[in-house]
Amino acid sequence: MLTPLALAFALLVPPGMVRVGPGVYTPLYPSAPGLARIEVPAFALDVTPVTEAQFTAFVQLHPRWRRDQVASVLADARYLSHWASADGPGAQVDPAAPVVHVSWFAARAYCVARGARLPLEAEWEVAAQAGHHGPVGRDEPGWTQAILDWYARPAGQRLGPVGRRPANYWKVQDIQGLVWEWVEDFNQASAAGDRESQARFCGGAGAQSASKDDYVNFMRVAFRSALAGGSTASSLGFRCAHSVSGKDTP
Amino acid sequence: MRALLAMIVGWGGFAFAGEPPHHHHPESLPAAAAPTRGSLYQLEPALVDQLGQPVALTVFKGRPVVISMFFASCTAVCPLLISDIHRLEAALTPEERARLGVVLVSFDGARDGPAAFQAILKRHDLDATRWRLTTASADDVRLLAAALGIRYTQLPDGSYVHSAVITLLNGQGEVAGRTEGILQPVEPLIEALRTTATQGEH
Amino acid sequence: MGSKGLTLLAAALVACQGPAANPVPPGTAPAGAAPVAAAPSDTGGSAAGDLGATQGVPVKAVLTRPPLVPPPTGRKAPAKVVVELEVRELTLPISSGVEYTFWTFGGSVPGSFMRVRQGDEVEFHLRNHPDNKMPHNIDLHSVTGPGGGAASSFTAPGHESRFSFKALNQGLFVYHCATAPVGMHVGNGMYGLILVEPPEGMRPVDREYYVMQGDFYTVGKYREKGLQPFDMQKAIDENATYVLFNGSEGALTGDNALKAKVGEVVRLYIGNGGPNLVSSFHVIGEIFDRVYTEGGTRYQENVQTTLVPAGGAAYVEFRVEVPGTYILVDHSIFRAFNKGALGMLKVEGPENKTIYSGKEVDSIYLADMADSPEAIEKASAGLAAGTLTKAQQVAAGAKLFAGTCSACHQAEGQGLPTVFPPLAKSDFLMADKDRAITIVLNGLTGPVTVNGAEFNSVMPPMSQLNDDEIANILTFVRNSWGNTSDAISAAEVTAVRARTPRPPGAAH
Repeated sequence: MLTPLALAFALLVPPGMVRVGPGVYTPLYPSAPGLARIEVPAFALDVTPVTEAQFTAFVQLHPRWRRDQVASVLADARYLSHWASADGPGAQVDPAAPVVHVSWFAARAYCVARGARLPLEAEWEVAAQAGHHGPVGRDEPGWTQAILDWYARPAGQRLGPVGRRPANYWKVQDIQGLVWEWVEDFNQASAAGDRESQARFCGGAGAQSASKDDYVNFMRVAFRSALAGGSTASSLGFRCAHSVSGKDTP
Repeated sequence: MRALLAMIVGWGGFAFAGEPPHHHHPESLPAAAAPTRGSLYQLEPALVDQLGQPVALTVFKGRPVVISMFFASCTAVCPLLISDIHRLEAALTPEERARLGVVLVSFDGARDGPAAFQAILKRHDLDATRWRLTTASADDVRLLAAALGIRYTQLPDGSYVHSAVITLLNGQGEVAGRTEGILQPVEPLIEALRTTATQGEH
Repeated sequence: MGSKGLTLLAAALVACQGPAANPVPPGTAPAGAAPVAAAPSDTGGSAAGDLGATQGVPVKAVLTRPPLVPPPTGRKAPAKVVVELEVRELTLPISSGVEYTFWTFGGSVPGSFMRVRQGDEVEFHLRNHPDNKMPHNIDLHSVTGPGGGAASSFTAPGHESRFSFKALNQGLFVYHCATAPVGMHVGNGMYGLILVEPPEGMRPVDREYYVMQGDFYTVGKYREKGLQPFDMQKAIDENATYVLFNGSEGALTGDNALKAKVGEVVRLYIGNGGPNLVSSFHVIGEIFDRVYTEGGTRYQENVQTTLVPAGGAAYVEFRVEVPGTYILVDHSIFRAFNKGALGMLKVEGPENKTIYSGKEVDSIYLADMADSPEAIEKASAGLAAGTLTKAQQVAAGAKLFAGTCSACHQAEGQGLPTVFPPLAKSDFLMADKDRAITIVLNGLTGPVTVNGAEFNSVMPPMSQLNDDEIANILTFVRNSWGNTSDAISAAEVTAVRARTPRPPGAAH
């Protein structure tokens, strides 16, 4: 039964977020035949990735996420290593740039503290696979090449501010071409890059990929499969999501 | 000042919630023994054991612990995982075995519970004083799996496909050894266990 | 016209239409008709490759940057070998004035050369530098096991993966990144060679070098300047922009040429990373005494050109008899002259006229690669900075002229009577600047009168040259051999290019 609060959530999307979907996600390496086509109900997603300034505020409120206090099981040695000090990024980092060098645990804690959550992989992919004119960007000329161009540009350069690039069909910005982004269920079992022997996986899946020419997605699948919960990287950030049904369980 | 304004605007008007409330543990941690930065005990999942009782992850703190994840209705890998741990126990001296704790957390909090766990304890002839088979919330399952490097996905039929990982923690809850896959040799974990014993626990 | 003139004419005509035939050193024995030569007994493959437990302390593998090869292992028993290889994404020159973001094993294209012995146990550490953006892994064709190691080693930036394998088969093997889409990772330069020595070691030679061919696909045209991104559609269409040895146009030319001395036996380990094209590997002026086709155990003798498959390798051995510059090419010859598949081996020592008495051939074959491209680079830099001087243009133009135009118009611009018009003191050239630009861009057929003499020949279009290159050539030509004029600017060439049509088949 819809409570008035749930109804309010259903109708209102929190500021700084937009409504994405519903949509369908076809994983490249489904974990099982029944998961070859995932229906994604509508959800709310941050328009832009979380910025350095926003994450700085979070760390100041929650000192256990300072780089000089964080548990090593929750973030690796390069966590926030680009900041001038444990207190904050310093002058060399654009405060409006997407925050990077954050682990999954840290990104998740940020979203939870804001009353939100990380997007599921299927949700994120529905948002990211959109082009400018429709929900599937691969059909638009130049869409794939533009992302491959981003892959080709070296990392380690100073990142620019979020929100400058045109939004996609869902009015989401910077979801391709700025940073890789964490998802809630990054540690799914799939036959992706780790084509391991049967012994490691209970009921493991086949290695047939769904689509041979979704190059940009292949890269993401490879990237996610190489990550651990504490991993950080110079081009890996995140944004938060919110269910629109009023209940926020992934 | 401008930076602060930028931050506030950036929040979109949201205030951050404070630190999440601590769960009530039957055995509270002594104030002096907060978990080390490398300890898995930084996580505080709310676990429920095979007797239906709340239990802390730190239930065996001070002793070496084998920790893994499974689910009761798993017919292929999990029985082999459990027998691997059993095989590890069998290779220890009686004194070592008496000190070893085993914590298994189920992916399937919705369907697993004391009945299923008691059946497993009986079927494999496991020492219920040292083994804890537990359920946790979906959130805690996600956190624990990420911390242990275990990959899992729920299938449409409600079962799970997951990797098999056995992790050894020292008395502080820090990872001392790790094996991936089933039917792996137990020697490396036994060696790790003996190394942590000689390094001393408190 | 005398016979000498006819010979010159024939040589010049051929040179203008395309590269001349390879000079066949007179006196060389014809290629042998014998089948497989001196076959050793069967090595037994991987079944016989486990040579027992490793002995001694673990050895850290010596890895070398191309074109160098690590020294022989000299081992007599299996060892545990630790290989530490780091992936780096680097922006490097692919051609003069053209940059490309390569993904490299060990900082070079091709990646580091690894050398182990059959039976060795290799403990492989693959590191992905934290400044990289992409995940990477490695597939070694020498590994027996699922994915060739790729399955075990998906590595995110800032992480390291480890796996071990036993080198069961001897031979020369390619390794490459196998992260999907594999073609893109390989197309960006992620490949190299690993040599697994036979138990008795390789036969001693005087020089060993490491050459690896690859095809590259850029959004811009060949030699279009600037940072060029990878073009996925061209890669799918197998429409290569560059075909190169060792990852760049200058990698094995000029000062970077391979070196040897007369009388030495040279072994080239030749790989082909692909991603798409098969190589027809040939060294102009040399015959391979031995070719170990596909890097295998048996050799063929007396071979001119050998195929190296994409994702494959071969090694060749030959004794160099006479001094000179030997050109390494992919004999799919447009790749050598129009896409960069060209390298050099400079051999020094006493001449032996009984084997070869002919002239050097560099200045015709090598386009502007014969000398180091310093003058050309200076002019490019000057143009970019807005400080280009006429002297810089003349210096750069001289180099470009020597490589491209002198074949027909001759080294001093004197032309060939009744065949190719002179440029020296040429009234036709100096009368109309725009016409000169148009002719260089679009070519010219039909009768012209130059300095009172009639010429009726074909000049092919040279529109594949960039605007600044044409400007430099014309500035040089119009200020040499008795000609004087102002410099011509790249902008003027751009304008002519825009308002004149290109003949069919000419480049942009």
